[in-house]
Amino acid sequence: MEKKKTFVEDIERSLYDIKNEDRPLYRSDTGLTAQIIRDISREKNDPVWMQEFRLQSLETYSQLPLPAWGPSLAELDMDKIVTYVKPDAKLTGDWTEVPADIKETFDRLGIAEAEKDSLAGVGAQYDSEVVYHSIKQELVAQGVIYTDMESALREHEDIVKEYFMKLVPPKDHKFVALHGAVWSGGSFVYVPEGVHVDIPLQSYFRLNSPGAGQFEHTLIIVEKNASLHFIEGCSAPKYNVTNLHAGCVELYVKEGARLRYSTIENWSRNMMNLNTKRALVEKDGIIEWVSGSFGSHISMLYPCSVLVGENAKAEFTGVTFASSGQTLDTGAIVVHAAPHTSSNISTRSISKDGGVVVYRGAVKVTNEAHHAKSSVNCESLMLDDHSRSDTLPVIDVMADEVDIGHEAKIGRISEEAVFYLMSRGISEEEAKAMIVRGFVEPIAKELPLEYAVEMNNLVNIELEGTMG
Amino acid sequence: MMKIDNIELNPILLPTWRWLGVNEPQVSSAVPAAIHYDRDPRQQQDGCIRPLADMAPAAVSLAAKARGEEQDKSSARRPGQGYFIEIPAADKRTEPILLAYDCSKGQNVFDEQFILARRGCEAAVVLLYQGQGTSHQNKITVYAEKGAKLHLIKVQLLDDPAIHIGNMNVYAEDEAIVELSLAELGAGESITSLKMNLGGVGSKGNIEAIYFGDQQRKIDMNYVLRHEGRKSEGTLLVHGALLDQSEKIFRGTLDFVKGAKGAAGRELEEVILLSPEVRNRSVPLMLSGEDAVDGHHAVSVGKMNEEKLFYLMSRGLSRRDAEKMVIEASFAPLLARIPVEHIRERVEEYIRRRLDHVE
Repeated sequence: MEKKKTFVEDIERSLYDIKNEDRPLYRSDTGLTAQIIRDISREKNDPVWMQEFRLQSLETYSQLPLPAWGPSLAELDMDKIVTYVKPDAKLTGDWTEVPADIKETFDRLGIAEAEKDSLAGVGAQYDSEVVYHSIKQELVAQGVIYTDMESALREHEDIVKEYFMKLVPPKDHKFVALHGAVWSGGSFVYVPEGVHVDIPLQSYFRLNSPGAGQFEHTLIIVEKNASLHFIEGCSAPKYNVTNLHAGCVELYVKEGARLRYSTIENWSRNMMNLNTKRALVEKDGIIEWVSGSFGSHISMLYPCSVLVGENAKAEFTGVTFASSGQTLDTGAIVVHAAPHTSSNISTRSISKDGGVVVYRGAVKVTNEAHHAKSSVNCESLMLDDHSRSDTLPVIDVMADEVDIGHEAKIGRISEEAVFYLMSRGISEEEAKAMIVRGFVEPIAKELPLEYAVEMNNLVNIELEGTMG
Repeated sequence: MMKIDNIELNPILLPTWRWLGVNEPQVSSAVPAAIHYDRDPRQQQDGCIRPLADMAPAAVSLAAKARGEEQDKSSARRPGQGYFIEIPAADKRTEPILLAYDCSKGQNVFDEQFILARRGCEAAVVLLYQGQGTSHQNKITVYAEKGAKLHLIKVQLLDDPAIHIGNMNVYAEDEAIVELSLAELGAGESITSLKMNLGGVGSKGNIEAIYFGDQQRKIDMNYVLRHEGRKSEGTLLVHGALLDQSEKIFRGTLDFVKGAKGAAGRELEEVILLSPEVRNRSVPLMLSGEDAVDGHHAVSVGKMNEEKLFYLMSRGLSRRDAEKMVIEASFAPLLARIPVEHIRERVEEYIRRRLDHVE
């Protein structure tokens, strides 16, 4: 059989690389000024407090330095980024009303199909605005709210005002401040006390406009003893200019509630993905993160769980796959701030073709969190000798009576394992691919089926022709 | 690079979030300027121990290589005061070389050693620091030539509330074996930095360290095990106990450089916490630019193994006494490797005395 080409991603990524004509209804000027923020705010019809919030965030943004750690962000020139692109499409609950080219993009990504088959609600954002949103009527009847952030701001202003950027305040870091100034789109979910949303909700974020930024805000509140599975997907076609994604996710998991937040991120390789995600978990609550990072040029993403209630739990399961031209600096943070809290972090990293992966994590145990338990396990697989893989966890404990463990391994594919599989009649290339799939299996099995399939496809795309 | 008076301390190789406070060495108080240690620390007359100033230029270059300094910088650098310990090629010594530093009350002193283990030699060197000095700064450089086998033991038992700042750089050539046993037990505040570069093919480096925090003691350690040579093997094994209001940061890095094919590195830190007021920060880094390596690190932080305690308590010990015994036991493997009996006993007695105040 003829060997496939080494670099196949530009061909095989075609599904994600569909470029539509860039014909927005409104596009802000490039760069960041108070006038641009006022224009965005006017265009979005913000309440006065939100415009004030944006302007204050802009001020915070200009005062804060770039991070002194992590990958270089020198390529990011905010003066060239368009922070708001309003697509020529109105928000609708009917797919047939979505403009044909946008609809076709989402159809090819399988969004409409997934809704029919296995989702309780779908949101689809195109550039800066959500163009489609739907939720099953039986959930609405139970009081579940699933809508875009702009509608939430209009229709549930009190709730938004109470929670919006309270968990992730703009002063946290420069790109959160930027988000506070220019945020647009995203999802709002409210699950009332005791309601279990058994089928997942899914939001898909698509950035089509070259040189633009996407700054969606996701705010989820799962009330006492309620549960939810929320899925987030992201992609963009590849351009020669830098695009920026600085979203913000705030998750409130109340007493006895459970939230699973799954993400498959497959941004194009001109994307700076500087995203911030945080969950606040109350007594007996559970947050579960499932995270797949495949795309983007540079990623800095560290979902954070703050366990403030006794017996609260956090689980983080993540896979990161960096290839040529990618630096994916990802990981997880857990703050144990109450007694008997527990966390479990499990990650798998793969690097190839000069890709750089970094696991960066922190487990902090405050002096109130006696009997905290945490287990961190990071495994890294390097597929060649011109890639990099770094592991940088920090454990910070201010209590005794705790049980904190961290373990990490690094290495390449075991030659013995390949030899064994080949002795059973499997080709070398397939044997290696099997081993890589087995390596990410603990993550894949946590994903909903269609996402597990997508992840497997992404792994296959990355591996074809590169080994053996 | 952070410089404190005479000592340059290595930064963390990959910085992270500032709010964790681990990127730079943490020094809580101003360190007084030091004068050179002016007494003779040698415990035996041995021609292989000479003043640093007697070093030939070639040896100066090797010391610079061990410190990772640029050659042009090193050629301009004049060796300071201190001792040059040169173990001749193929010299297999059974008796350890001992240098004992006793810092007088109120003194701020600085000392330096360069240990050059020539081809195929075998030797052990013990450096002992004790006394009532206010501050102590120390710079140790080690260069092990091909096939040399060197065991360096550093025992630091300075009285409270001295500040101890130490920097050590080690380079191992092909098939050299360097073993470090580091008992950083004393001083109210201890800041130490170590870089061992396994530069040679098949070189081996084993670092074993213990620390013990009690009262308001502050301990800051940054150890780097760099694998540059093919088939180099390294281990970094650290045991510690924290009591009272003590604070400690340990950064342990396994750094696999591109080209270090077949290298294997292991790191383990075990910390026992015995007070709700301690602060323990553990930073186990593993960096790799090479795929054909085998790296593994693990950290365990927390209370003692209940089964061990239960067993000891079933033999009639109180819980506190059982805990003390477990701490002593975790230090025992390193202490057993101190080749000078009276120093080993001195350290055991020192630990026991420190544990005695624990109620």
